[in-house]
Amino acid sequence: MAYTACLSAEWMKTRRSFSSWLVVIGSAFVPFIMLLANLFRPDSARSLYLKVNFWDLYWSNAWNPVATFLCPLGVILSTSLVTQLEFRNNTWKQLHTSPQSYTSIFTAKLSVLIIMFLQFLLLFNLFIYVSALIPTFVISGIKMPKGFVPAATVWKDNWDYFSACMPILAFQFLISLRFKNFLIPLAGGIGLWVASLIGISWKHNYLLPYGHSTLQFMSRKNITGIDPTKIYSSAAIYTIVFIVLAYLLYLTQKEKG
Amino acid sequence: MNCIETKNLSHYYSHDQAVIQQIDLAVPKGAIYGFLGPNGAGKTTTIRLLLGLLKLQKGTISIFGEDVQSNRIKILSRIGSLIETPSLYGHLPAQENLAIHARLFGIKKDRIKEVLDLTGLANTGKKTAGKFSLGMKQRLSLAIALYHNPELLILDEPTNGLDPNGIIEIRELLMKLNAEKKTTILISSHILTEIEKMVSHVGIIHQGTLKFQGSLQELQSKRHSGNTLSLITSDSVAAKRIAEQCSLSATIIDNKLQFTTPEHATTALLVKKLVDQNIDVYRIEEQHQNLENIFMNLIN
Repeated sequence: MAYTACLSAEWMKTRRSFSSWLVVIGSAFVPFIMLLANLFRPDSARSLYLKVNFWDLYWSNAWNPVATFLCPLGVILSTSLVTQLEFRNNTWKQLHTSPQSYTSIFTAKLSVLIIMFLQFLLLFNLFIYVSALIPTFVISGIKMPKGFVPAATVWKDNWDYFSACMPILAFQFLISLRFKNFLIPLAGGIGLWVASLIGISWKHNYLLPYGHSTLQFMSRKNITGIDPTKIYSSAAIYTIVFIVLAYLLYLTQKEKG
Repeated sequence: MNCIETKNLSHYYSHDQAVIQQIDLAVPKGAIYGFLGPNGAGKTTTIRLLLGLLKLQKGTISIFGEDVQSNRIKILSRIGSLIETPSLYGHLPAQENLAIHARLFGIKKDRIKEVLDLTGLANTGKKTAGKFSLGMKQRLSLAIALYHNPELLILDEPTNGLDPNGIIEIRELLMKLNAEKKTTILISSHILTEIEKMVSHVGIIHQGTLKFQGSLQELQSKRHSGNTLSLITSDSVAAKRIAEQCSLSATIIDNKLQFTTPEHATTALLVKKLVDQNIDVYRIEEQHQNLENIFMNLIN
């Protein structure tokens, strides 16, 4: 009961916020660019729509920038924005004087971030389909290719990228709870993401928590030196460690507003 | 019975730097308790300790007769608070700020209009709290503090940013709540005159220690004992000698004879003696010591 009240209150806080718009705009960005590309280049669109493996190509092209760039950066930005909402509005003291346990507050905040990430993935999948559909009404001679990406692939890809980005979400949550200055989690997150990209050719690249999403995408391109199993386990361990650490640091804060 | 009671409450920001020391606060149930002190005296630290926003280092706090450490959630459900600067979600309008609060307190959203009316914010519509003036933000913070009909209101400088009219309105609102709903109110301020019209009890804190605690009457009795009588005569030096014959310890300031207001009989005797000695008495006036002076004397 306490948790659902907290979750509901946390969700209400995201209304009209920049982070909630970021989820919608971020998820529509790549499908929109792909749509424009097809609308402005109808000839290449016609040949693309005739291909037997249209959905595989379209799906993979859509995920390419999202997995390597938009997902990690979007998670860094939106996690920092949502978590820093209390610092920015000077509302920690109000929240911590409400009759809610610290555990409920912590888990509700984390849940909202996860829900927003899932919302992003859901919308992104939807926008991929819609962006492929629109040209069939606009460009003559184009028909919607039959079917869609196999459901198993949809689930697997979404789950893989979701789990690959969870360490980023967890660590950003941790530092955003600790630091009042918004620039610290933001700069820290971007710095760690760039460092992970630099270290992507390292043989123990699966140990870089901010590079898991890129590694997942690379594993689909059959690039050698990438072991998806290690990415899963590494991401899971990092996620758990960061969340537990964030919880303990949050609980033991001397000043709560 | 006391609504808030602290024993030996102390807090240190560093090992040897005490912000407050051995504060024994006693806020009676149903009182409006003015917690006074200059900036940096330790008011906000004390209030943050009461609300659990600072970790308790030394001493005990009991609210509603229960220990705050072990009954935090239960106690907080009966308290409304406003601590220093407004605490609002700037991207949301007043109604949604209140709705979040209602959700956190597990109560219905049916009082939103009522508290907005009460605090004069009924016409803010969809205007977001970030666009409010400081006074409006303070009113909304107060609306949030009042929303769940708390038995205890803890308000840290609630009139910050309000214009004189706003201050009077808030004062009347708090007095009404106290009278009608028996809400206990702890209100901090660094300006005594601002709250002396509404408080029933006063606590004066300075440099982390409680200098005075008691009812307003007790504080006012200090005022009466501190009044001075001032005489303008044709010969101040001779008048001073005669005053001393009447056992009055007088001083001459700006050619005026001044001494602590004596009994009526002593004043009459002095005037009679002055007239008998052919000293003209032009004016006798009593200077009342105001509460602000007492406050200043206590903290200096």
